[in-house]
Amino acid sequence: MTFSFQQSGETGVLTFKGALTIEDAAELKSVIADALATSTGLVVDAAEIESTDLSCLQLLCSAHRSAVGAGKSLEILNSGGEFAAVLRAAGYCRNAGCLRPSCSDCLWIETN
Amino acid sequence: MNDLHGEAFREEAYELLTELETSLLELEECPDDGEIIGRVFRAMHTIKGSGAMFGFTDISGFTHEVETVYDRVRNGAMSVDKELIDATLKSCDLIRSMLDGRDGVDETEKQRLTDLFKAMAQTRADSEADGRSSVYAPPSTQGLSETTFRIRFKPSREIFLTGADPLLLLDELRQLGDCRVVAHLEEIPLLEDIDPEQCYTYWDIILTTRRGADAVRDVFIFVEEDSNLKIDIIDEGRYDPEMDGENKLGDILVDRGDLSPEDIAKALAGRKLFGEILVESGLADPSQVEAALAEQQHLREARQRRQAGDVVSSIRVPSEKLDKLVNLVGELVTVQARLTRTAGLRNDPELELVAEEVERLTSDLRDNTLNIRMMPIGATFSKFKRLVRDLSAELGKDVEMVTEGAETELDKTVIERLNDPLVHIIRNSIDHGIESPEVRKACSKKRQGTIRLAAEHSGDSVFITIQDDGAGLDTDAIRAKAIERRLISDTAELSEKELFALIFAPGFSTAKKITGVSGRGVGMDVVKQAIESLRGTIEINSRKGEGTTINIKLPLTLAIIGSLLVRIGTERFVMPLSDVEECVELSREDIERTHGRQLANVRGHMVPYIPLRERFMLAGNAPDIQQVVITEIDGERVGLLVDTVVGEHQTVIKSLGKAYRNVHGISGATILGDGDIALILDIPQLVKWG
Repeated sequence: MTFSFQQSGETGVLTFKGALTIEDAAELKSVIADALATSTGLVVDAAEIESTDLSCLQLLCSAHRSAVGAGKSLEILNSGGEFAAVLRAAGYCRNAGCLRPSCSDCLWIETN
Repeated sequence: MNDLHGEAFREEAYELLTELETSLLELEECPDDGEIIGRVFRAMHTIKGSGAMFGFTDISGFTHEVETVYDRVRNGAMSVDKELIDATLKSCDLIRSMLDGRDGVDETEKQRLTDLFKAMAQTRADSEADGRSSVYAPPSTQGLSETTFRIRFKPSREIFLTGADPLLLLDELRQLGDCRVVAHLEEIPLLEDIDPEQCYTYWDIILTTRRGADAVRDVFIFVEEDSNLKIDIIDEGRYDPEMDGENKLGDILVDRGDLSPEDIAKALAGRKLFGEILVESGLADPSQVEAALAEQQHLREARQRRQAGDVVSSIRVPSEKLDKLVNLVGELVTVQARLTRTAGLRNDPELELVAEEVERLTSDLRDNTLNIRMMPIGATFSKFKRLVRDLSAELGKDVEMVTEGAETELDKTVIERLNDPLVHIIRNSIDHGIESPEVRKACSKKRQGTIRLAAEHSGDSVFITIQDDGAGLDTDAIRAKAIERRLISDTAELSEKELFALIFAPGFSTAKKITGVSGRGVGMDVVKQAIESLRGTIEINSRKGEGTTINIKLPLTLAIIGSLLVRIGTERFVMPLSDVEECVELSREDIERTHGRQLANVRGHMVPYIPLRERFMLAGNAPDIQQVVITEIDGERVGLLVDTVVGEHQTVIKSLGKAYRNVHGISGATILGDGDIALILDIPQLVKWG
């Protein structure tokens, strides 16, 4: 996978390209951790993600939790196409967040 | 290749093969039964998959051919017939030989079967194309109703490391029907704690499909062992609007284990019950609501019962571990006896109380441990079904085996040691007992002979019966043979029972010719020895022209038995309580009255007794009043004369060494509470010896 990170003020934008799978999971973890460290609002641009899997979805969920816990925010933009397909297949899309109180604005709630 | 895993696979495969054979025999009776076909297919599938995983590529390759054919059967493209069953049973034998080791494998047979299955997979396909209808209709056109399953799938954390992708499994489920998947993310940790290569997600899946529970289970077949998997049927195709009461959501949450019933109760406590609202608003009258509630309750309970029945788990334990455990329990029983005795002597009430408690616990532990070794005899019975089938074919007879009491449990060791004797008895039955179909017809019997195998508990014994409706025993032939072998003189007069008992003499056989199956005459005496070594008894009954019945009686357990402790002089002995009927006193006058004829008067009947003091040549004089312990052996009552009866004793059987094996009348020893040894009396032997 390849990624680029752009910071403007307090917001950071992480753009991923190509495949984002378990082989990249460890790297993904540190990339997001670094990005979160320097921004209060992180945006993940999923437009160019060609394929992804469960491990990375978990990581994003985990990152969201940590962000919210630290009073920051994390959003996923342009989650159409492949990315959304995997999301649906994995049953991650939902109408209400999970039990943790910090997830009142759950990452995976469908906003249609 | 770690051989530990290879061993585990072998063990599991042997078991699978036994179950497979049982299923195949059932399938022969009901060739259309989809459930049995599913079982056969799954067994093949598992052997193939596990075989491949542990490097048994020859097994997995061969099994693949068989599995292919059964997949076609499963889909209705092919029907089950005798040829297929025969071939599959032979395949089981082949796979067994492959499990045993490379050298035993018959390569020509393997090739023959492989070609046969390949051909079957092909020709049946062709005949299908001819438009000939198959006996087994495929599930989808048979109108198998839709069933809705709730699946909770929680894979192990390490599932990614095995290369399995849960998302692929979810896709497979989607192919079975309408699917709704909800992922549970609560266990995903924070970013700094998460291990990116572990799976923290689990799923609730609602699936509506026509394909049946087997197809659902198949999806998880390779991850089932390492995952937490729960598959429940929540709707069997009927949408029942009456069931959609207020509590449905709560029910679902409770069923899933997400909420406890108390939580639901708390949440609902403040609200009026739906039924109450209905009645108050006049929409329904109380009896209607009552009846509906009753139905709802009933259905809920039925579902709970069904769920409870599915939760059966067990673990595999090596026999050696179990034996060690039984040994330790045995030692504990011995030491506990000493504790009780010591506590009694100390005259310390508190210590006695503790000793009592220890005794209670030890007794429970003993019962539980011995119970673990108990297994249903049904597995042995099923093996014999195959034996009967093969033997009948080989000997040209038509024999059916009927079983009763397959769920009767026996000690594992007893079952193992019973196997050979039972095989021999059944062989005899088919070879000599049951007549050929022509002969049976001539005797106005029905063409098919029956062998009945029954097992049942009674008291602390198990009774096993093998009965056939064959020709019965020929008393004249037995007599003649016995005279020929000089077992009896030619003028001896024997009752029928005594004649039958002669069959157990070594080398006895009335068969005119020796077949590969039986007739060598090394059988029945070995059978009797085997049964007696299990401390059991065996008896033959027969009616000429009608059939023969063999009755075997066995004790439930071999390791620890309840016994009666008696004393003669300074020596103490124990005898199994199961043999003991009662005890009567014998005074000097009673002895004189019978003029030394060793008979005791028990309520008007004369019972002979054995004076053990003299028999064992023990020193000292008998007391004025002695005790006669009355036992029943082979239907006859015999007494044993002892000084005193001390009481009941939990006897942990310790065998005497080889040197003592031929001592008559003693079958072992046990350690008493004070550390002394008491010999265990073998009453049948004592009686015979007398």
